[in-house]
Amino acid sequence: MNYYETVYIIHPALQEGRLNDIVTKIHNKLEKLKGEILYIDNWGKKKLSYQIDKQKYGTYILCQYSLNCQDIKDISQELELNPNILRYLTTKINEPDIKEGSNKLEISKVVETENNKFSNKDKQDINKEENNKSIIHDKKIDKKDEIDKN
Amino acid sequence: MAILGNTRICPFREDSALIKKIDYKEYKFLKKFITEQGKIIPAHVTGVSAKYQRLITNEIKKARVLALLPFAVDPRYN
Repeated sequence: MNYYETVYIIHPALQEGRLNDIVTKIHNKLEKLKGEILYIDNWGKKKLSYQIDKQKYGTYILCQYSLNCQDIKDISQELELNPNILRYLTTKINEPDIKEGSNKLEISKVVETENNKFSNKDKQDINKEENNKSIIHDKKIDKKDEIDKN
Repeated sequence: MAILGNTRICPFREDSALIKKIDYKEYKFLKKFITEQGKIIPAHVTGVSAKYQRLITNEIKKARVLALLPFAVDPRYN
């Protein structure tokens, strides 16, 4: 039995109940293949450094487990066919790298990280657009500009 | 080829506790080895030895796949 870990990204629109359904699906498949789950962690909703499928945010989940080497294809196939999972990455680890923590995951609230809150730049941009609208109401706005802004 | 007058010591030989931080999950530590545009800084500028430079590049490439670090950044718009 070798030790592996995966990190996968889930669509940001799913919360609480549906998130648990996806996580339990993968755990059930792991247990069918006679693997043990050693560590789970939820990093929360983070901002991505580039857009994936036109999404700017995503929830990260880390999972460490033990498996036979011939069963990795089955798990990676299930991660790939699910349309709610945007990306995944599996690596091989040694035994002392396993972290100590909880074995089960229960998601009750949305975890707020530093990147989840709006930064000051977004607030300033919103104020600028409102100010511009009040000044420009006399001019005629082209349809092309409206489409480009949106 | 080392530049004349550039005598920097590898940071991983001074502090052996930093070797555990070379991991794709620790993107805040790996941000010191990329430029504003997201490119990897060469070893003759930072002073890192060859063995650790190879480990750092492999971990940065893994972090780029997971969108923890960017592939390319346009400094004009940020």
